[in-house]
Amino acid sequence: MKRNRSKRGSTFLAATMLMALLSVAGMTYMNTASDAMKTSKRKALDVQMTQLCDAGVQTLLRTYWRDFRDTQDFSTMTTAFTDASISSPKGTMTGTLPGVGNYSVAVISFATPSNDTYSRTVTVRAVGFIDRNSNGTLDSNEPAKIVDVKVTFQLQRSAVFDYVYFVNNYGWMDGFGPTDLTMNGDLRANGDFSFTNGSPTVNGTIIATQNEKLSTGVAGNISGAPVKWSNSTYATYQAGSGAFVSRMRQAYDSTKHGAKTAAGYQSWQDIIFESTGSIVNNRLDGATLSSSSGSQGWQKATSSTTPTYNMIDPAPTQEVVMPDLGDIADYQTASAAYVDTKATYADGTTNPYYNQGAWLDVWNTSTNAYQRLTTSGYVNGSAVIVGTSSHPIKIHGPVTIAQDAVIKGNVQGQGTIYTGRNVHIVGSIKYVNPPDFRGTDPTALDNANEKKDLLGLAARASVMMGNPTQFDAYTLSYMSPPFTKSRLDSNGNTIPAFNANDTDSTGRKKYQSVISDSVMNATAEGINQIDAVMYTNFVGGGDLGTAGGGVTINGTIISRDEAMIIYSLPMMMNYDTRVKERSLSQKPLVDIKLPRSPVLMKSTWQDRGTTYGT
Amino acid sequence: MERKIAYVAVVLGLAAFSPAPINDVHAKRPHHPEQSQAQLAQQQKFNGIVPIVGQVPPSLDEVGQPRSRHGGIAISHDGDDSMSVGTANADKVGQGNEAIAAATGRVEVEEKSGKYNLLFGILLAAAGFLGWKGIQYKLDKSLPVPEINPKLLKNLPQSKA
Repeated sequence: MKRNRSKRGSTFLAATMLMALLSVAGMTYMNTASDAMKTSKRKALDVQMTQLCDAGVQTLLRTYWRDFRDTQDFSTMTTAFTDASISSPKGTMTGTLPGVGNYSVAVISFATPSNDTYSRTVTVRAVGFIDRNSNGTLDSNEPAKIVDVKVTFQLQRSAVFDYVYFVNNYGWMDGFGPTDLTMNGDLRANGDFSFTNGSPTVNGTIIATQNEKLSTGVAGNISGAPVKWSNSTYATYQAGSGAFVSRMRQAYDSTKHGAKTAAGYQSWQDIIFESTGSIVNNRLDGATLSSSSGSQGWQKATSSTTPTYNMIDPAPTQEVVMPDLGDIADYQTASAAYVDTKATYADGTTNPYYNQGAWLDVWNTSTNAYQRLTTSGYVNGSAVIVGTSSHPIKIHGPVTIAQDAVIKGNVQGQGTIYTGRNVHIVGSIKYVNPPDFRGTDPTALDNANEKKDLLGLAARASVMMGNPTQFDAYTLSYMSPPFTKSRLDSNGNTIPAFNANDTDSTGRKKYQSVISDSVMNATAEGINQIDAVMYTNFVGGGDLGTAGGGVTINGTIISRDEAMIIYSLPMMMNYDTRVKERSLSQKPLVDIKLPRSPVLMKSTWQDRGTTYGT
Repeated sequence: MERKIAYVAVVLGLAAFSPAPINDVHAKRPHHPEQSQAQLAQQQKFNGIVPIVGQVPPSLDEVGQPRSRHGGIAISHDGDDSMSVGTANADKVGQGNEAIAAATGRVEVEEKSGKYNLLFGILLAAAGFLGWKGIQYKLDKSLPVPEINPKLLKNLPQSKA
């Protein structure tokens, strides 16, 4: 047999080509597999480093948020972050997630937005890296990721003013029957809420909140269900001749307010009473019992009726942070800087106070003329302010009084009195031109009520009602331990319970005024009516109704501890809807510069790049 | 003994079922009617400013005591997030800034390098495309044009208009 040479050559060529193809295929496969492994590893690293960055950002923000929430000013941030830049980061923090890696985080930009002194924008840069040699620093062969997060710390309008009664503690109503106490507005407590020894009438929502900062830690439950009127019962009462029916918010009536699905209903939704709780426009509507267990509607027409419940929303309630008036200089500055920027009212009429600053005028009996107590919106001392119907107290804008305000009588204008110490209400406070919340046209109602009198009373210490020289042991027992309770601050430190018998830096007891007892005794009388939005960092309480005939509060009472002792019945509270933030406009009808609450808003998260080292 | 226990039980029972007041109806004090407008007008003689008594602390803490402003915040990471005041973490602060600066620098360099690589790739692709077009042009020029036989053209079927 003879070998064919040419055939042998072609086989060799074919084998070589096959080997070459196999080699190329093998190398391609290995390369692809290698790339896939590399990509997979980098993805895993990326996830880890993203988590590290997030941990760093959260750590820094939480730290400064806690300080901001407690102090409610920007001074700590200003000290720590001023002149921060990429080349000179400020407020640097480092940390480790065991088994994952390290992070370094700092602020690279800190700015005040133009025309917004209540906000600060902060850009945080976080570097998450895998510290392979565990030396705590980022080496050249170690992978790292950079993330920038932009946030805004803001003091914004506080939600506490959405309630006729707000207490940063246990809320409780004890011993009231359905006709003894009628609350026309929403109630909220940063703690449990209980109704015991009677069923008052509450025509509104009641909210309790879980709060671990209260000394015993509370679950956020509501015990007992108050009586609540139906819409028709409420409307019938308001159509009658009872006292203060004009100050009650309206009850829902589909013929007047339209179907809840109609666009026009949103104009009413925030300012009317709806007895039946439900979800409308993706939010709770109507009266509910809202607690850590969720929100439920309830029906209870009389004190002897067994209440019925229906669950509406299982979402638990959240704590609402109270504003802090701790730094009076902030409010003094705000008073000095205030200028009324509203040239015309919503109905087109001219605002006579346009371009004016903040001021407080009272009648001077010596000169028979009005006397301005404020200088640049500030009173450097305490003030006694008594008004009559012919010579009322006149107020415009937010004014600040260094120590006590002793107030009673008729009031005209729109504004808030901030005090560095107590507000002492020593008699009824009545608007000269009160609002009227009845009507069928929401625009016409708003236009009319926008111009009516509105007073805010905000005390850095307490709002004391009645004559403090007459407070007996019974009254003081509700302003002192063991009735008042200690609590924890954000860092777990115990804040002692309020004690009205303690002496403060003025040498006076906390419930007393720095105004002499003789003046207090000469001016104080029984309180039947308070037309005001009251806010206090400590106790809101005292003796009410001592003039007989009951008590009516047209406004709100917002306090940390509440201790109102009622000496005559009935008691009624009517929420002033003008201070409620409307969901459509995101602002209240009348802005009297009430205290603000801190919020933290995250705006952007930007991945700035990843490096995998050399 | 049993009688005493019974007394105690009765007292405790009464205490348990008596109203425990907050917002309490406490009507024991005699009522004094609201004052008239004339009385209020007389009391307007007290209207005015009273000088500061004692002192006005610029800032109060949650207890109502004067608050001392602190100079800064640092955080420790030994298993909790308790805050420490001042510069307790000064050593870590320096390291943190180094890490931020190093990572920022490296990312910037790699971003630049990536940009150069992209530019180089684009240039390479453009050069390759132009080269291919050049070869195509050369081939078109160098290859002879095929001759066409007229007979073949005649035999092609004519299209009808």
